Amino acid sequence: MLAPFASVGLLGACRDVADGRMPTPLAFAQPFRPATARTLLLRLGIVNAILLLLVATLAMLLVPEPPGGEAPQSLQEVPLQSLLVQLLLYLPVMALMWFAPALTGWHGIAPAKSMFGSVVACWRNMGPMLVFGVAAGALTLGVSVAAVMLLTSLITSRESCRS
Amino acid sequence: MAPLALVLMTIVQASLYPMYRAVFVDTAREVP
Repeated sequence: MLAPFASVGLLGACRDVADGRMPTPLAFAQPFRPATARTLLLRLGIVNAILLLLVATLAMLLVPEPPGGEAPQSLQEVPLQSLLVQLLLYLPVMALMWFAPALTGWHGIAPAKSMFGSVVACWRNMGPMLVFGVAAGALTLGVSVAAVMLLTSLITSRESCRS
Repeated sequence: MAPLALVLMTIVQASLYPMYRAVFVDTAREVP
């Protein structure tokens, strides 16, 4: 529910950097100051939370989790189908929420209008958004896999040193 | 893994600012 506040706070810090000012943690308190923007951002946060709950429920209904619920121990055990369904269901929510916090927090636009504006902006910039999505996904996946491999090799070498 | 996820999320979220400027600020300036 507080995600739009965090988003506007981070955007404020980015704006400070772009303007040549030193960003401070106070940038994250900025979205809470104007009363009207605070109420609108809270409404946006509630909508965001409801949409996320819907996505999670739909994903669970479409691809139920296997019994046991243990964390995957190898790449083969990762439930790819479930992750893909969740990603596909989450994409429309992402488009709704991508620019909405900035439009609501900085321009005082009502949540419904800002979500509409966000979807239109995403739709009109579909190509660059797709390139960004693929690049961000590749970065996240690449860094995560590298970190897991590094940690696994560290643990294995430590265990072999002990024995 | 949590700090790494936080750093990655921050990078992705921070890229929203140039996008916002390109879509809503710079484009608006170009319109006569």
